[in-house]
Amino acid sequence: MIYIIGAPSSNAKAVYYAYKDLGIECKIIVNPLELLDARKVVLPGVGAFGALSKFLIESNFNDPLRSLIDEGAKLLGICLGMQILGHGSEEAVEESGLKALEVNCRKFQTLDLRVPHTGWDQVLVSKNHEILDGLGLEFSAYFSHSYFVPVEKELTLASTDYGVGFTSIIGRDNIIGVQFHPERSQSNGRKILSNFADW
Amino acid sequence: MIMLYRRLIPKVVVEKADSKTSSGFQSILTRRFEPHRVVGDPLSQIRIQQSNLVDEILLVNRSRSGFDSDFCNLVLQTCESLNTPLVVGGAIAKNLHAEMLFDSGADKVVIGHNRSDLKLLENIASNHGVQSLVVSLDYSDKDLNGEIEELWEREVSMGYLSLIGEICLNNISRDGERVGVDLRLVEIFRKETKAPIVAGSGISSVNQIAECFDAGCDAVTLSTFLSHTDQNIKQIRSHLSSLGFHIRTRN
Repeated sequence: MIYIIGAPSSNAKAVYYAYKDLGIECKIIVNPLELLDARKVVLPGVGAFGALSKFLIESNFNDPLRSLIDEGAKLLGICLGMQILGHGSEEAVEESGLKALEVNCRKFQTLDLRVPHTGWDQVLVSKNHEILDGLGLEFSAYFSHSYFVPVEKELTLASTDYGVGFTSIIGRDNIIGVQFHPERSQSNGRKILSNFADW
Repeated sequence: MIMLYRRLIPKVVVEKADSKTSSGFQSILTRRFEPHRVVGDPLSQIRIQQSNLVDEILLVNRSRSGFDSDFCNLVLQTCESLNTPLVVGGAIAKNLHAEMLFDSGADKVVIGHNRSDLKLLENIASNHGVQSLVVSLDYSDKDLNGEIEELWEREVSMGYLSLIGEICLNNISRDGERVGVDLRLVEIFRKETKAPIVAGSGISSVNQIAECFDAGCDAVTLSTFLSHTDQNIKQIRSHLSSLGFHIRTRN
């Protein structure tokens, strides 16, 4: 069973339908008490860092999520859901993330490039991971974001170049985060969601 | 090396159906933004497009009765089998309308007439991030009064340009007329803003898409063209790729 956290500004339904399409059991949850038995959790994106941070705190999701991570449950963060795994973001400096990963998000400042970074781009894999089974060393995925996690040698599993190289997949132990949207990345995205379910 | 691909976005325009369809809506082609021809059931149209390697799908409700909550059901039904980004528009006048569409599965929403409502735009941007907000600037030759710079200045004075994730430019006078896109405003937006630019209205050939990309557009919307050409999106992609454009030719 995949537990999808249904933050009000997220696209939890898109992730839900993607898993239904794959024939994998899943449910959207809005109450942290439902996380008690969870072993696989997806924290979807689409939103703003400050709004998601406040939701997780005010809805009492932060502590259960941290406990689950400590207990070894697998967590997949998508887009903003990946960014919130870090400490903070230039998008909302007064708010903090889950602090599960030692990273901070920065804003794209490249002068001659379009921001947000929107559309299909290449993901360049630098480290193997079960979630990448069957995808090869380079594949395309759909991105939509204005902030990014810089490349971190120990944590970055794949990167993308947009004026600056940024982390497109991050991972440590039982945590994985993807900056792109697997639920909207056609067959490549479906593979990642399916691999997460099998992980 | 930067590898962001140029995007091809089928635009599916819908209105309430005259006859019974599974969704209650019918897909139409427009000419100058007015209904021109019914082309079928939007859900099957979207399924066909999705099978042809599209980059996003733009779904627009042009029913005249203002925001229609039934449209949210269509968005929801669309999302049930969608693996492609979905951009949705249709008389969004309040934050609640945007919330309903996001809740139904939209990835981005399009604000047209109400783009001067900065409070609405700020609300969407703060709750969903600027990347979820597309503004559509739909103008006609009449609005231009001959001077494209006047139109640009009017848009700047509305104050929305710093709030948006993407700008969609449509010269209504060219919609469905198959005469190519009005690129004058594209060039100004390209120079003066950082938001990605989506051009639409008027495309009827691969060469006209190429002209849009050469002018600096990040994406194009395609509607009438797709119903008049023998090429599907996959074939259009190959053609553009052979012309040297950075286009996705496989997933």
